[in-house]
Formats: sequence, C-alpha cells, structure tokens
Amino acid sequence: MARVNNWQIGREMSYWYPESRPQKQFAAIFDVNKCIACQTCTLACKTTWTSGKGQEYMLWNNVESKPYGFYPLAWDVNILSKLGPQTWNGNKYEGQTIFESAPAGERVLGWRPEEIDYAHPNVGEDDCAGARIENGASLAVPHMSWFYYLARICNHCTYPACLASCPRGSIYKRPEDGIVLVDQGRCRGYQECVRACPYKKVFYNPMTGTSEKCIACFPKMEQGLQPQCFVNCIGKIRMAGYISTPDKASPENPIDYLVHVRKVALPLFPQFGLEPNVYYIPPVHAPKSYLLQLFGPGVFDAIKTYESAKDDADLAGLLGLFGCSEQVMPRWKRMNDSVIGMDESGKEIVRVPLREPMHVRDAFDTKYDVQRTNCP
Amino acid sequence: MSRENYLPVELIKTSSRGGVARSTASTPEACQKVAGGRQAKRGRPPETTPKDRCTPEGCQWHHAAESIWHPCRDANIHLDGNPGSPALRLATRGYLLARLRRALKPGSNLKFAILSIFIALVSFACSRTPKPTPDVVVVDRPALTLDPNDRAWNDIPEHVAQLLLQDMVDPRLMEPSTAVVHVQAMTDGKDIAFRLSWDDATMNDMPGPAKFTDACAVQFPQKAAPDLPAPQMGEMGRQVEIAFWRANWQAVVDGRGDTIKDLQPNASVDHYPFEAQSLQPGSPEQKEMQQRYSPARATGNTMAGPRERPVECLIAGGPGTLTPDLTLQANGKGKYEKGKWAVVISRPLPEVLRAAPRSQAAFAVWEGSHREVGSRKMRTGWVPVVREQKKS
Repeated sequence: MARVNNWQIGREMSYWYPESRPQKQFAAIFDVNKCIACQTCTLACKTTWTSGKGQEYMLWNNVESKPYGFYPLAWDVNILSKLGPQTWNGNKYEGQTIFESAPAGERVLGWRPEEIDYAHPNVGEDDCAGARIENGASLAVPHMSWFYYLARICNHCTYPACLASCPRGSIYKRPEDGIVLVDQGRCRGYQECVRACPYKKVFYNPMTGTSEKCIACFPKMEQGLQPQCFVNCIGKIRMAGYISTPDKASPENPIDYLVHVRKVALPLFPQFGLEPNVYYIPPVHAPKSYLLQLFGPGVFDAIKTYESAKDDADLAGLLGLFGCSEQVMPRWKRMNDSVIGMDESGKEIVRVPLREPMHVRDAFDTKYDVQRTNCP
Repeated sequence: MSRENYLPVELIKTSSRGGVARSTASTPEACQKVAGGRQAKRGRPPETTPKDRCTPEGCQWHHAAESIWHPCRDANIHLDGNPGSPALRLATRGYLLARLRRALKPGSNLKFAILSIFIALVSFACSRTPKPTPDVVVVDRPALTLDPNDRAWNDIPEHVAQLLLQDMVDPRLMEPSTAVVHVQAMTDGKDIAFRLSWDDATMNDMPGPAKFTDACAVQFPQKAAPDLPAPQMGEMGRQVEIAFWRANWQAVVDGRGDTIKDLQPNASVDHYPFEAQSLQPGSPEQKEMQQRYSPARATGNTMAGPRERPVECLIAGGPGTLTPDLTLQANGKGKYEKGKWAVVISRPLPEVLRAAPRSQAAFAVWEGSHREVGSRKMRTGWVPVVREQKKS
C-alpha cells in the first residue's frame, strides 16, 4: 500500500498504487435539486452504449429516488454498514476508508451484489422518508417528509477501487483525462471490480465474460463534446469538464469555481476514500444527518451558498450555463447580465442571459376574441 | 457475508463437544492454536510443524507459518478420496469367492464352477483401481482420449494431489473448499492428456453477476531449469504454461446457445439494434454491427466466446500476468456425474517433458459455489511428473 493525498478527506491515506494524477481530470457537476427523474439520461446512455447482448440489465447511468431507491439493491447502505460508523474532525476525515479497512486477503473492503439485486431498478422506491401523519406530521413548509432523485454515473475516481482491486491490471486511468476504463481485451471477468466499487458502477457481462462500465463517452470528450447523459438532460442539471486539485483551482474553470471556490458542489461519499469526480449540489431539503453521511461536513455551507444564488449573479449565472451547449466549456465569465461559456482559448461557445426575459400576456386575446390558456 | 468473517485473526471457537469450529488464522500464534486444536480433536498431541503428507514444495510455499492450518493437515481423511469403493470391492470379491467355494465342492456342477472362476477373474480385472502414486506417472499410449469416462483411464496410475489455499497473493482465498484433486496422465509422444477429478457437491456452469463457474488447470514450467519458478503463476523471466478448463465453456461447447435466454430463460428483450429489420441476418453489415455492441469480442478477447473448445492455453510470469498463448492449442472435456467432476485436459507435450522424462506440474481447482475465481482458488505446489519408461 502506498500513501497518497486525498484532498476530499483532508489527509493522506493508503492506496494500492502510488499517487499519479492525470494531466487533466474528467469531472462533472450534477445539481440534484433540478433533477425530475425523467430518466432521459438513462435512456441516452442505454441506447448509445449498452444495447448489446449481456448488457440488458446494465445501467451505466441511472437515477434513483432517495433514500429508498437503489441500483443495485442497497448499494450504499450495504457498504456503509460494512464500514461502520466513522468520524470527521472538521474537514479532516478521521475514520477509515474502504482501502484502509480492507480485511485480510482483500485489497478493498467490498461486497458482491447478487443477480437479483439488479432486477428491479426504480420499482417501488418512490416513498417519502421523514415524519408520518400518525406521528403528528402536518402540512408545513418546508415539507416534513422528503425524498429526492439521485442521478449516478461512474465517478471516474482519482483513486478508483475497481482499478485497485483488479488482480491483473485490466483497469486503467487514462493519463490524458483521468477517465477510468476496463480494458475489454484484457479483462477475464473475475468481478473483483464489481465487488470493490462502492458505487457499484462496474457491471459483469455474462455473454462476454468481462466487466464493463461507464466510459464517460470518451470518444465525445476527446472531441470537446459532453457525454450523452449530459447533453440529453432535459432538466439541464449537468455540466461536464475538468477539475484541478484545490491548490491549482482556477475561478475561470466552471468546475473549479463551483467545487473549490464556492464549495457548492460536493463529492458523493468522500469518506470511502476514492476521491470521486462527480460533484453534487446537494438536495436542500434532506435531513442534516443524512446529508452529512452522503456529502461530508461541507454540505451545510454548500446548501447555504446554493440558497443564496438568487442574490448572487455569478453563481446563478454559472448554474444557468448548465445544459446550454453540447461542447465542453473549460472557461466561463459573466458580463453584466450575460454568462459566457468559452473554450480553452477564450473563444465564445455560448452566451445566455442571467435571467430569461418574462412576458406577461392578458388572459383574454382581444384581437382573436379568444381566451388564452396555459395548456399546450 | 458479515464483516466478522473477514477478521484477520479468528480465535478458536470451541464447540460444546470440544471440537474446533473455525480454522482461519493468520498469525503464527493463532495458527498454532488452530493447528493444535485440530490435531487435539483427532486425539493426537499438538504439533507445531506439519509432518508430511503435503508435498515439500507445497509446505515450503506455505512459509507464512508452518503452523498455519491448510488442507494438507487433514490429508489422512481425504487420501483415499473414495472411501466407499474399497469396502464395496471387498464385499463383491467375498461374495464371488463364497460362490466359487460352493461350486468347487464335490458334486457341484463343473460348468458352473468354471463359469464362476471366469466371472471372478473378470470382476477382479474390472475392479482393479490403481493405487495412488507419489508422482504423476505419465503413461505412453498410442492414442489419447478426451473422454473422462473412457476405459483407457482405468489402468492409468492415479496421483492424489493435496490442494492448498491460495493465501499468498491478494485477493486471497481464506476458507478452504476442495481438498484433493485426483490426477492421471497419458501421452502419445506429441500431446499430453490429464484427467483431473474431484468431489464437488454443486455443479456451477452458469456465468452471471456474483456467479462463478467450476474450473481446473494444469501448470508446467515453460523451460527446463535446475530450479523451478514459483508455483504461484511463475515469475518474471521464468514463465509457466497453463492449460485452463472452465465449466461454462464446456456448457457452450456441449451446445448451450449464445443468447441471454440461454442464461436467463425468463428474460425478455424488446430489441437489439443489430437485429433491426433493415439488416439482413448474418450479413456482413449485421455481423459488424453486432460486434460493435460487444467490445470484448471485438477486441478478440479469448474469454468472450462463443467457444469451440473448453480449454485455453495461457502463459504467466507472476501473479496478474496471465495471458492467452495462441501458439498452443489445447482441448478437453469435462463431465459432472454423481457429485464429481472428471475433466480431461489435453495439450501439446510441454518442453520440460520433451527434454527430460521427469518434471513438475501444478494443479488448481476453482469451486464456483464458493465464489472462487482468478486468484481465489485451491491449488497445489509443484508435483513431480514422470514419464513412464518404455519397456524394452
């Protein structure tokens, strides 16, 4: 085991391989509060990548209703209970990661989902958690009961558990963009990666005898285009790009700005120790203890910052840039009432207004002598 | 599986009858306790060093602690491998001898006496089971058989190889499963065929998430050299050759189809893009499109099937380096009957056995129901393999 630096947990940790960061690191931001679980992202991915034989059950991208939705079943609660209660001291994680708590004979603390655990995605999961009527719940704002939608893809982690667990080095992290891939020519289907990934984003293909996973649409990313699940998102909740380490963060980079400068987007389960690179703007209405467990100690400040966006032109402006272009926007700036997404050289890709103009029309159209309605 | 199962050191749990309940341990102290406890159970004084029945190579590689318990320790309870058969043979012979004695009594029918003698002789010949040999003896035969039930195997000597836990390299196997593998071998001077058989209560030949298949393998050093490479997949610069058989490949060779319904009979699939009506089934365009949706097959991964042979030749220079060796062609056949796998693996006679009549081989067995795969396996150390000298 080597010692590596994990900025998300504020300390060094043990990892199977020495630290070797890519030249650029693929990263993404998902605004959970905007997701409506339409599953367009899921289908965009499915039709593009996993329509083959043996891939029938695979969802490289999925959206689950939290807290009771899982794909595969119990993916998060299983690893959380295996890891046991752990502690943070401020922004420093003092508990054990899944690498540090690996039992004898294993490289990573993991578990294997059974076939049946993949069988019912989204079935029966749309239940609220929180207060019940019989326990005195009443209509109040904010709601006493809660749920939200969590969209998930591979996190293309800086310290992937799948990569660490593969006994034959069939999984690699591309030095040029940090995308984590399973070498389909080398994999022998041992499923160690499926066992190790705490997010359960590697899937075994029984027809080819190999394991497969989200590839961050690398053929698109190589051309400066965002992945399929990003550009097809009708809620415009997603932005793909590249993230720097905190010491090299640039406010001009939209991912750096939201993660490092404003700290409004957070990694999912940073305590696992993988340094995942999909960052979530957390749901504003979930209970505190739950949020802390999912996103770590920065979650309360993140929500406060997010809720202040209505008075914050830069933050609101950048959030408005989500989903406005298929192209990756490595740079951005705000000019008065406009936000501009730019390429590396500063050339404009897209310009959007800070606020869309609003038109108010009379309920009755006198010209055509007809009542206007809002129905389509 | 609960986290307790992974505790690195598990203290001996004594049952109400004084037996040892669990046997995993990874510190010398704990192991000594475990070893002592196990032997005490069998009424022998505790020992701190294993004596014997494991091969010297096996024990040597079990350096972690000579006191670690491994299946060799229980060799005496597995050695015969088929405890029922000797008793049955003796009973049969006893019955026939009694019939013979009656027939030879004065006044008995002479024809019946002759017939009884003949039956007795035939039964002795047929029931002859070769004694286990200390080495794997490779017998010369004019032609090899791939059928594990072929009578040609009946008079081939059998070596009973003790299987050890692969607990040297992560990920490791921490709980033992298959205890022994019975090995026979024959050669026609060009190829060598092994027959491996082992007890297995469950037949596992279905691939799937968290589903693993039964398998076995034979390993040889690639080059003849005075000292052997590590039996654990060889070493860099001192490679080993491996012939690997898998139960799910056997099922495909035996006729299981290449569709998801063959694996999941209740599966229903709406549509595959490469089976669109606009594409002529079997046309080059259709095949090319199908390939595009199966990247492992597109890259030529030998794992990805569909397969024509259930055995694959591989080469390795240390753990994690296993690579298909396309220069060698192997074949074989496995049959599962009455709680036993019997598998024939045939491959070209290795260089080490061409160069000299004596070499070493190692064997491994994967128990699918125990989730054994890759490095999680039961394996042997190097076992001597000797070509039977031709009688001049």
